Amino acid sequence: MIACLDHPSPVHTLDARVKIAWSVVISLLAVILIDPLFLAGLLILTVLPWFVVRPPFARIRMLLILVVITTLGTMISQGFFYGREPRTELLTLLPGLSLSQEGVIYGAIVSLRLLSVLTAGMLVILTTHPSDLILALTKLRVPYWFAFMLTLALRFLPETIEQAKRIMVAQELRGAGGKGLISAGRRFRLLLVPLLAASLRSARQVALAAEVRAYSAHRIPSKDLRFSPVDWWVMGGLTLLTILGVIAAIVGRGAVEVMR
Amino acid sequence: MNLAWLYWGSVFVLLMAISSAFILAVRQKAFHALTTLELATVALLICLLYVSAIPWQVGFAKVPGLDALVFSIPYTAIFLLGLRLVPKAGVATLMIFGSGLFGQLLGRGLNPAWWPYYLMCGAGVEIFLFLVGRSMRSFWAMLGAGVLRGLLAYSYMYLILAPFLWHQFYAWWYVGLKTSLGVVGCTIGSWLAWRLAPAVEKAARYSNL
Repeated sequence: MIACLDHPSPVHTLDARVKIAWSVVISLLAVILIDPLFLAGLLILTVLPWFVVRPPFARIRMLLILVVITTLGTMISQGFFYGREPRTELLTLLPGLSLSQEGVIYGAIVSLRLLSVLTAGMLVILTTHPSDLILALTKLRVPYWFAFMLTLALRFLPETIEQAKRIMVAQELRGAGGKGLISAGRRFRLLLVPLLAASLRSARQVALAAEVRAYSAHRIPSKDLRFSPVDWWVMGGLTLLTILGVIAAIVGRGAVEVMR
Repeated sequence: MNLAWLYWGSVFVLLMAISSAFILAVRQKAFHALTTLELATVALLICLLYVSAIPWQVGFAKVPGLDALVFSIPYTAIFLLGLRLVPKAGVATLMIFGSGLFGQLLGRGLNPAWWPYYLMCGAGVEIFLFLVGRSMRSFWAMLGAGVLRGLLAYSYMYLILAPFLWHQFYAWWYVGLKTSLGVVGCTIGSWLAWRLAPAVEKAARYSNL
């Protein structure tokens, strides 16, 4: 369920705050860059650390599936629903609903932007345990109670899924099975009350356990985050990248005006 | 033409509105700190909001447009049940923002560009709840909160976030279709929450240790 990879790599050892900064910088650049060439460059940049991390094939396959779905989905949705002129129709499904060449091309460019953010974000998730990310968020002045709530949500996740499966099996045995959208809706309605009832009991137990362990007292985390020299170097690189990205956004703007 | 400034403008206006509402709420003593049990309940609801989307990731939900309908039913139902279980100021924002961030932490990757969107959806519902009262005993109050969240989420997503942040341009009819289907899904979800709320509240009362 939790996507973090166990095997260590240089990216794993980076401070979680540096990885959050990486994610923020890539998101910012993906938004401000418009020129397709710069966007392609950004995508290549976000793919490079994957070669350092060397995730197992199953994870790469998952990423590739996401890449294909994102690219095709964006190209098809922009192809059909692109709301700008001119439109060179490639395929007409219904009157007023046609696949346009400009939409497909534009969708491909937009997918470069989406893929950059996706690959950068996935890398952070693959190389950082969620509890470290939450710790990093608290270091970045996110209120402790909010981080505590996210940690609890993480703790509830496997239990909730397991509980839901158990209830669904029990309901199937009592003849509440069936396929199709209507049946799925009926099963969801039947699932919700017992699942919430069981989960609320668990929430009460956790809350009680937290209180008897003096949750509300001043917290000292068992693990601390410290910047190493490598972290400082990476932060410096990210700052430089941001400056270059802003310059590229200003330079690239004219090229896109012509392209459109 | 790069219209990203419109997005950032909306973010600025949103932050100003939230800050003003927050100051006003603090002055009127509208906020009551959440107890540990309430925090745990909200955490559970955040988890449920995430889990509720998992079974719908295949099949009908992949048809463009229909996804808005399919995903909004369980989300709205759990969201409204959560508001009935923890009727305090800030819980709507906490659930929406928390579930968004939780989804990012678990797989989509941290992306702060989405955070103002979550805050915007939450703030809209908070203002509605501030006006109608937090207990949401009537069907219309639940429907209002559910539909408002859907309307804000889909309209902001397709009219502001998609064109001005992600540079995706959709035809007006598609935006209208998607928003309408999302609102229909929220209506069904609100009805479901209203039907199930008494049973869930009863379960919450009797789940004491």
